[in-house]
Amino acid sequence: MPDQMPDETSTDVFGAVTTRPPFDPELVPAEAMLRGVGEAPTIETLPALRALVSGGTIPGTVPTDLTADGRVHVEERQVPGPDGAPEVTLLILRPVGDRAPVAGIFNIHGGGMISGSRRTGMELLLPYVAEGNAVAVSVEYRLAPEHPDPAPVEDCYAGLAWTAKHAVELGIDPDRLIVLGGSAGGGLAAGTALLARDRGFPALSHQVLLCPMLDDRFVTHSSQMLDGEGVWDRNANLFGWTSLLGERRGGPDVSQYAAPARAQDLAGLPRTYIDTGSVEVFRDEAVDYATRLSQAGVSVDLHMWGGAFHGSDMATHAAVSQASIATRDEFIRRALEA
Amino acid sequence: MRELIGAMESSDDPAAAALRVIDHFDHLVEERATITAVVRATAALAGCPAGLHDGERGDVRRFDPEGKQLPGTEQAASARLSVPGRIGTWVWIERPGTQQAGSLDSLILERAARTVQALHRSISRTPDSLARVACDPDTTESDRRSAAQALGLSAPVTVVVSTSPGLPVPHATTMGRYTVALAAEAPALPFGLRAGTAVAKDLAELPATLDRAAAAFRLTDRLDGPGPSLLGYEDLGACAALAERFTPQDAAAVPDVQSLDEALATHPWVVDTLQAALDQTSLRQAANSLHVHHSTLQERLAWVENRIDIGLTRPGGRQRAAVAVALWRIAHCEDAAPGR
Repeated sequence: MPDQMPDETSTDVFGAVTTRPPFDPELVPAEAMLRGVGEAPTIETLPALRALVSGGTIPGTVPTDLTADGRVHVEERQVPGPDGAPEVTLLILRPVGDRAPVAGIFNIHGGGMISGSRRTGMELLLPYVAEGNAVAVSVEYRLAPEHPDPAPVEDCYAGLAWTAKHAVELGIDPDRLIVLGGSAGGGLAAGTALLARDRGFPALSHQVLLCPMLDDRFVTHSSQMLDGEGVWDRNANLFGWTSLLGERRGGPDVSQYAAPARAQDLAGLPRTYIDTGSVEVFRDEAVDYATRLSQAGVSVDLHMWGGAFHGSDMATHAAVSQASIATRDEFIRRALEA
Repeated sequence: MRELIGAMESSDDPAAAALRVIDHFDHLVEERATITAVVRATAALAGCPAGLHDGERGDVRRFDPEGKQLPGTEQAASARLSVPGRIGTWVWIERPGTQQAGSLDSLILERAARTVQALHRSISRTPDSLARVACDPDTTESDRRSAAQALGLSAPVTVVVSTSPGLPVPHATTMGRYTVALAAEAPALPFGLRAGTAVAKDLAELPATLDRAAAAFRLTDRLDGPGPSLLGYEDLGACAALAERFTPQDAAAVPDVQSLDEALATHPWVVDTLQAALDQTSLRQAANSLHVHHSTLQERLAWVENRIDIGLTRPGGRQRAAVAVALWRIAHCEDAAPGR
């Protein structure tokens, strides 16, 4: 880990805190509760944050049984990494038993580019596998700041390319290959989809970008509107982007694969699902990306959930979470259909 | 949410977990969240199904810890608590028997009840909501008495069930598809009202009395029909058993009722004719009440005997006709549009 982050201070990046919509009343207690769980991400708190997120579960709880009582075959594979880089670990969940090829979901976990593991969030994809409708592959990409850009997105691409090449062996229908990610994983999924388009392989049927982290520049209204609230605020976001890009962050030398909001040409990208809360820093970049994809001729489902904040779906009991989870689930099920 | 609480429970600081529960509900009060959101939060924090029985609104809201709505019937509550200041209203949690009661259960329930109370304080207690509590079979005996007394009622109480929207009787409220009114003693009911009534000799009997009045209502005729449109349960005797035991679906499946329905499609006078002939002492009087000629009535009764095998002059024929018409009314009791 580098001894120190670049000298740039937050006052160079941030203006006044901009106006934000109110949190949904039912989510306010959850926002307060989540705020109390971890400290703001900094170089000092990063180990604790990683321990919390990468475990895949919260301490004191039982981890999800990824075999779903024997209905799912769980396997890990070491596959070739990017040129000159170490191998990449893939966590592969397949329905047990012989069946016709099913859709493949290539999952890229979230965690601000700086935390999380291949297990993070997999319990959300497990039902699709356990029901025999998908093979899910989750990639263990290298994390910033120890491994800055392009390591994370290139690891994701390497894992995706291997998955597509071995589709038949894995029981995946190559015509239904979906890249999916949330938060930083959403940004990496969008970047990986751009790489796949530009390298001509593999063909993706869908990209599912959940509250994606797309823009390192902090120029949108929403990127400035949360300071000390909303789980992933502008300070955390600056830490994440600076960890990934170092001194390049916000400057002219950032590739579209690291920050897909910078991509000028969005034509030829796969069928897209994008969602965001109305009270999160990623809101405007998500809406803008969806708009520009549509203008480029891509079919997009865009959902902005009023009063929701980043990760508020963790409060599954709230009505707005129910609506957003159900809408997302319905889209994924359609995407999995033969 | 539960995971976060769970993490707190297993931590060394039980007070922190309790504070989180208190904070959670306090935020809901500050934000003026909905009562339904309070029920969802209760289930989420407890990690098991939770519900609210709202006697004054006459509904049940019930959710699982993931926020999914559950059928509105209370299942084996492991703990329940009345909402202070709101009669006939309580919250509960349903921890499965296999699960140990959580150390926070009583705190969660207490905060949930207080939160419902706080979010409701602007709503005044209306005669409408009191009448609902008084007739609610799930409410406690003491709440039922309080509600009836707050309405100024003491036994005996006449329960009036109708589908007319504006009952000219005090303490009327809407319950499902019925308008229900509670009246002291025996009220003078106006002409032009289609209703069933029943008398509760004790306030504890109000829910059962409501069912009896509804049974009487099911046997009423429409306002301009030849049969009675106002019936008291106490006057029905054995006929009440029909309305109490037969659901509309059961009654509709009886062959004689099906025959009547088929005949009505082409001969709309069939049921009215039988009703008049059964109620009047002579065919001439029956013809008068139907505003038809005596010979027309005879032709129609002959048609009924030939086509649907119900002959009033045969042995047992009148009983068969009377039971068939009563069952036909039960089968069609829900057809009436409000006000008819």
